[in-house]
Amino acid sequence: MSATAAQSVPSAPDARRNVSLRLGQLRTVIALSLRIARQGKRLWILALVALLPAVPPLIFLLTSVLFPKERTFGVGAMEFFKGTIGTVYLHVVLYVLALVYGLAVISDEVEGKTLVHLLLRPIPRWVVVVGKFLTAWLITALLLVGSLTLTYALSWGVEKDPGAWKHAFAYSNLRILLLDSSVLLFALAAYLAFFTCVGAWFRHGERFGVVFCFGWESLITYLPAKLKWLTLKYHVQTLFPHSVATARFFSLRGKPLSETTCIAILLATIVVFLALAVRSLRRREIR
Amino acid sequence: MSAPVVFDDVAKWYGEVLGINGVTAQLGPGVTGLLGPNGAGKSTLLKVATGLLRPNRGRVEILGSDPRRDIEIHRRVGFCHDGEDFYDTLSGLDFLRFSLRLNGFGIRQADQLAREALEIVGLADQAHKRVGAYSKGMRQRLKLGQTVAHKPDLILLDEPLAGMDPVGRHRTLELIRQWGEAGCVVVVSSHILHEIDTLTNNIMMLSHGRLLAEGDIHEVRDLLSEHPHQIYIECADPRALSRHLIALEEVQKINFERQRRGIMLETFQPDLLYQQLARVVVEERIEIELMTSPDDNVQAVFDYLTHGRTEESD
Repeated sequence: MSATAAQSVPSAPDARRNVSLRLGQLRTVIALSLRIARQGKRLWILALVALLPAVPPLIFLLTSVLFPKERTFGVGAMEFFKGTIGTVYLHVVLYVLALVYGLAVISDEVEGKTLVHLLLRPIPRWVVVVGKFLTAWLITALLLVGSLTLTYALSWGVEKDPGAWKHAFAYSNLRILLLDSSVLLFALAAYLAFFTCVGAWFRHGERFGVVFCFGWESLITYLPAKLKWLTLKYHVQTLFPHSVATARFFSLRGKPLSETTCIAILLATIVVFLALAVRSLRRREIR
Repeated sequence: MSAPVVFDDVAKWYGEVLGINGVTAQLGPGVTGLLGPNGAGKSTLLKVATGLLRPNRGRVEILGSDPRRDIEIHRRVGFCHDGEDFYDTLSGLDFLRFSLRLNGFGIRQADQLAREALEIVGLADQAHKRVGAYSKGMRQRLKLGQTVAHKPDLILLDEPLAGMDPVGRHRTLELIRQWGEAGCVVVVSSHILHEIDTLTNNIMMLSHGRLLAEGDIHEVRDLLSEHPHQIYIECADPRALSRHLIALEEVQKINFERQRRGIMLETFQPDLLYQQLARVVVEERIEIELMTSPDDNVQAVFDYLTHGRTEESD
């Protein structure tokens, strides 16, 4: 076939220094991963999980429409929204999305025995990891942004004044929505990178992930001094434009880290754990 | 200049289980049959060759590069592995397009090459069907398609005929022969020896992870000096023929095959015996109906080699 190959098919360009080729391969990995994810059940199940925070304000809205005299929630829309961010999004939705999708970035290919199709192509391992990581982030980011927007809109139903929804479009409120969304998307990337690494190195990362999210991340933040710096949640909480900390009492000791430092730590988390995932793929053997 | 495929004292084991051990061989252009029973180490050797497995010892060189270090060699290598798993939600055409895009081909070229590959393996009419709905034979053909779609110089096929119907087998064997004739280095593994027998004389035989023999099957057979060669002859009067042949010093033994009007000769000097046989047949005007060498084939050589090994280990 070499003879025919030389005649009819121009050989693909030398990739070693060809950035555009690598970007093309990265796009292909993303397109392939999106095609596969689009038709999986996981997407729809997690879409329902992502919509959970919108359920309480929706119920309140429906009851206030059906029983207008019972409209006594007692908090404002923004207060309700910020509270939902600090509780349901930060402690449940973020973890579930990152855990499920992050662990699956590499392990889906391993368990589905399809990784061989990628490893037999002339693509660097980092293209595989980064491509699949970006796909996972894109999907979860879409779910998260959709859920946040819906929850924000429905939160205005908790206001006593039925006409208060007009404030939903006020710059100061939209700014909080935008900043909160940005912080959560950034946090999502960090958690996804962490779980991508866990999924690449360990066969059953789920148990570790659950212990990490609902054990380590939750308990350590309640401990004094600098131990909480070892959690991702601490750095994420620092970046919110409003208070979402759950253990302010214990946070009194020690000088808090600056926003810049927290951003740097989260960025480093993304880079380091993705690099470790790439290393795992380089060492991996296909039997 | 080194051969396209070089194994130098290659060993691979999985924990305490031996995959291959001390394999040293060089493979050149044309078709080479990689033979051995299940568990002999054929798949392990091919996976080591493609970099999917890291050898515990020894050196592997594929097209001048180490396959674990140089990912670019995958542009020139096609591997039909033993797995059957695909991205089931994709169509056959889309799977090949994605594979070719990952190889660095542009959209149009990838589409063209993917369609060509499907045509070659006889899946053109199933191009838009989901791979999940493909039969085992169709999956095997799709795997073959992804192996050659990018027109590689080195083609490694691990049991490529598994799960195929007789027509698919025939077609695939013909394709493999063509690729070999076109100058590609083609390595075909199989545990069904007669499949390889029809394809090539060039073989590598593995058993229990060790390389038993390598090279031309007839040369390998000649080296097995402790086993006499067998020649089977059918003719109108086998008794008359045997009377003339028994006097020849090259003949070790003659057995009568009563059911088929034939005789089985055994000799340690097949070349000389064939000359004498020709003389006898011409002089005595004996009409030969059939003449074959039942043990000058892959199966017989393999049986001799593994039988000897079994006896040694006993």
